[in-house]
Amino acid sequence: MSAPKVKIRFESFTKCFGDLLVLDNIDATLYENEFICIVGPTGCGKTTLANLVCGLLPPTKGKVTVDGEEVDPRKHNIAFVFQEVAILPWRTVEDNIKLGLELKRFPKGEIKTRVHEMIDLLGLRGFEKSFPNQISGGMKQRVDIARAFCAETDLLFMDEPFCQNDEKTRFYMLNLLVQLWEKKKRTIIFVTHNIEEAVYLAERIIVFTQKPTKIREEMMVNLPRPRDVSAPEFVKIRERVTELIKWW
Amino acid sequence: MPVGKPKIEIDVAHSYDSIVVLDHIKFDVYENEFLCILGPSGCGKTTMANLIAGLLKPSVGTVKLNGELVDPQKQNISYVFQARSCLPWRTVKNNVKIALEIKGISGPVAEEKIANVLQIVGLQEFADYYPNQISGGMKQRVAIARAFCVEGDLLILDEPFGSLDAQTRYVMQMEVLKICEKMKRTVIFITNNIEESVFLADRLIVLSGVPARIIKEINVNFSKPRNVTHPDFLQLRTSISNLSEIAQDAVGGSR
Repeated sequence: MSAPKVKIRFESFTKCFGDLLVLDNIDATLYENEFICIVGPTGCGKTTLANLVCGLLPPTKGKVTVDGEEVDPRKHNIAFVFQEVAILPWRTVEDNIKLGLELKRFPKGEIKTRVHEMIDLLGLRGFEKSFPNQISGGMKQRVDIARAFCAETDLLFMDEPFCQNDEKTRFYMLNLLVQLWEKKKRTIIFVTHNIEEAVYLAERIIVFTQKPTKIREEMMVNLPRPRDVSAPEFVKIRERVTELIKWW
Repeated sequence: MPVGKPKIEIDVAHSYDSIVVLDHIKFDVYENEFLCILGPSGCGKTTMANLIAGLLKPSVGTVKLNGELVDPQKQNISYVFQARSCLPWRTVKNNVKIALEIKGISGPVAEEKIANVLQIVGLQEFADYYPNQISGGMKQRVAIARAFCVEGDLLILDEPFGSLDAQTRYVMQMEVLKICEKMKRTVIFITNNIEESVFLADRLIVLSGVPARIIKEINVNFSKPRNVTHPDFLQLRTSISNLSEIAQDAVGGSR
């Protein structure tokens, strides 16, 4: 087996707001197509991290590289999925999905093929021409994910996308995401407060400390999928992560 | 099943115009019991809370508290709402005090009650802070302190931790258990979170989607505080999750 390719690298990544040190010398390497979950206590600076990763804010020190080059939102493809669904109400389902491809000036034919595939993968067939106000909340979420997966993204950053869903729906969405990732392979950073969710999804979990945020520990999750949340090995990892972020 | 005389007897149905929200719902709550009502989003849980609190009159049936028709002007019912309900121009201490002011309790008695409850929720050092100076979890603790500082007949909590992150939520659940242990109360706790309900409840009432009816009643006999990764805990959680169909909203097409 060939060595995994380095996709994203954080080098001495530091961010201060005035006197407040938010991210403190973060060094991390993400490999191509890796599924990483970040867990950390409330207020550990994950939103700051998201803004820095996409180049919306400059780091105080250090850098993030994509394929060895410093991150540049004009050159690199970084897609986001947040807690609030971000789709445009005046665009149909398919026009929302292809938004990222249009921005990156993909050829028309390729846009069509890719959108077609996404619509099938996310079970949106029959609703291509519907507008957001004509579809359910769960479908909007799937449109958002389809848009994020559609382009050949260097990095997909997901910030607690399912924390508002009830348990049954949440696991439905988690399974959908894993299937999509297994088929389409992307490098994903998934931020969550829900430790069970992190263990369910991740190949590797990065545990952050309280502010000033450092990496507390990294943990590989080598469990077969679909994962069983009550399996003893699963529970063991979950308890270990819980112990690491416990402040109470 | 708890024994003795029920403290609260609920036997209602409710509609808004022609839309039936609560089908026939009938259950009792016993003294010092911690009862959780679990139901999917939009199934009418808040309607139910308002009916029980006497803020809303049921279309059919009655809610009785201590054998009498519920009346919030006569009985002491504390209610922690889903939305944060701190008054921004009052300090933490004075936000708690409002419950006592309404009941005409003042002076050293009031001061002592406030000091006591603030200590229990761990806010004694923040007594003079204003809501915008404290975190979301702390604001929820203020609301809980206010609800607990009056000796109530009933405490209703309607998804009090819905907007908190998973970890803060866990801390708050522990707080509520601790407070309940120290100050015995009859609690109705409403949530859509299965894990939370299994963690807290002595007894659990599971509702269906709208029009809501009771699908199942479960006595949760694990000792508290409960371990969320214990096999029995996980098994009960899964079996409750299996009771419901996945939300149509998630899988289905048009709303």
